[in-house]
Amino acid sequence: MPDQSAEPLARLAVTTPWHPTLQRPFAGSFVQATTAAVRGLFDRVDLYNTEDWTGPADPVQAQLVGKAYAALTSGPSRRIDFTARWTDEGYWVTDIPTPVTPKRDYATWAHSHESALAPVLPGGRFEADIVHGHVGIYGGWLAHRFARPDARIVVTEHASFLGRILGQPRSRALYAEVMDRADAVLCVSEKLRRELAGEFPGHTGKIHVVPNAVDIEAMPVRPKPVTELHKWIYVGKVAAAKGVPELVEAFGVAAKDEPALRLTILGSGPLVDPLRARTAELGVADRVVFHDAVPPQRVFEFLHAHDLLVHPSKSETFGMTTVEAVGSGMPVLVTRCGGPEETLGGLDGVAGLLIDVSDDPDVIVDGFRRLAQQMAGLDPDRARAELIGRYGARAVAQRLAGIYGVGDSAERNWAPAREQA
Amino acid sequence: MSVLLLAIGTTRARAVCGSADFLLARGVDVGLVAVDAESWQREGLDRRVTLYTLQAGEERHPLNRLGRVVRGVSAAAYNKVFSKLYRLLRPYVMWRVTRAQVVRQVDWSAVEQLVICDSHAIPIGWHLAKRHPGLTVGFELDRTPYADREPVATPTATTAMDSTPATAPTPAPAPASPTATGIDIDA
Repeated sequence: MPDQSAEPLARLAVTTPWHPTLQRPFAGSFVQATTAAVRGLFDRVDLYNTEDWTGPADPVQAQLVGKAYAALTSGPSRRIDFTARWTDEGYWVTDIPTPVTPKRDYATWAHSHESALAPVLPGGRFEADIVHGHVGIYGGWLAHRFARPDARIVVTEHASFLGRILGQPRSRALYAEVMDRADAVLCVSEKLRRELAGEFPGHTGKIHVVPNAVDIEAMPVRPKPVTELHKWIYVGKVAAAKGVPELVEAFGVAAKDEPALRLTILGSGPLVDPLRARTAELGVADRVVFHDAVPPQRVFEFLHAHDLLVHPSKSETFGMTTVEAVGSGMPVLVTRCGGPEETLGGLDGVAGLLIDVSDDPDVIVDGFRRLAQQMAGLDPDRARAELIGRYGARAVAQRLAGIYGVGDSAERNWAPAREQA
Repeated sequence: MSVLLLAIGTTRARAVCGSADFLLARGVDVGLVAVDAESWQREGLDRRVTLYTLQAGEERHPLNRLGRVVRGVSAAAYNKVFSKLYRLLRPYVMWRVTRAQVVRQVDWSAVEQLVICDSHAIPIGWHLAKRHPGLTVGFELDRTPYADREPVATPTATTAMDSTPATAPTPAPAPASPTATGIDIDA
């Protein structure tokens, strides 16, 4: 628990639809890391996690669920009280299940989140000087609806589905309100900033690029440096948008010339079975392993047991897997799909190799062969140090302190959450 | 003493199984009100959890018997009219079945918490909360009362959380799990 006798600073409320829970232990780890990074800037940090609970699609049934939920959670005879729990990361979390109806637009879901959060807040609003909403819809919307009039609102946008939100007129209207009210809107990549600035040119001045924190210092560095690129690994959703079919095809080509090559595909998704069948057709089924997704803390076991992360995604707003691989001291072969060319800016040829986004598997094969020739030029220690400087908890906390307007006190009070707690 | 979990679907199976394991490891009896047993066995629910299933009762309900008659007469009438009507009435039917079966079977004097585990279970949870005004009701298990108890080793505890292989990361194909996503999430 925090030291209550300390000199009071400001209070921060964070609102997010993603945060690790028992059901979704991997969700929102970036929100968790970023909130933990700034915990030391404040007297108290409360995080409100409005988690989607998908309910019946039928409107009548959905209405029944909504009425029963309201009766249980609000009014004089409410039966369920939401209590905050203290976390190891050094802040308070209130988990708020939010019944949502499938096949609706983001505006409807945003209003569902609003209805769920309203009875939870004492006095019907965030008692915080700064409210940080993660993703414009829903976190930004909730910050806008429940922040005190004098509170500073900061919104971080990192939704890969931003385009879908802005394509729905009602949802876009809500987003426009968020943009009007927010004091600062943070994008996790320049690509996302350009997209948002293009949609809301009148607010360009308040849109900044500030990444989420990544606890790179805590990432275990591989015990032995990579000396050859025989064991490839892909980590992530097994889907066409991630370029996994091209990866399998490319592996089939490269493996013909290099008998030592192996590939592990770590993750789940709709293409697991079709791609497993494809590896058999390519004659490499015995050299490709499909492994189900694992908790984040186990990913490094897999990274350390392989030589090269291949990440051929078509689009990424940030590209966390690439950062994790470089943070663990592993070379990467990654597409210029948005986030990675920023996260690895200046590190092409140092952390690994960037290749073009393409439907042609030969691009991956060519990249692999070039990287194999450039192995001597790789400098994993420098790459890791660069990433810590950009995305480490201290670096991001200092940037957020400026955004929050708690600059000087931030410098004085910054400390890892676990030390303070 | 016991905790009663209520889950109509398996969308939040990981949380349900995790809560059950936590309680069983601390010597707390666990009951689960669910539609059927098979899907929960597939999800890895510990076999020591007492299951109160609604499927048989639902099938015996007069509305369902009427449905079978309608289907016998005209499959089109069943598909186009009856099934749509039944979808609207199903929450009511499920509550009637719960009331007729589960409410009588459970020793409510021993139940410390009722945990509503998914969205579809909320209406039944509300009915049960109304019938038992003194009962603690929540959407998540309140672990505080059991936090001080030392977990004991359990020979059969298998959970959804443990479904990923504990072996080293070398080639070991594992069954795909629709709930085990989360790597490389940008959103």
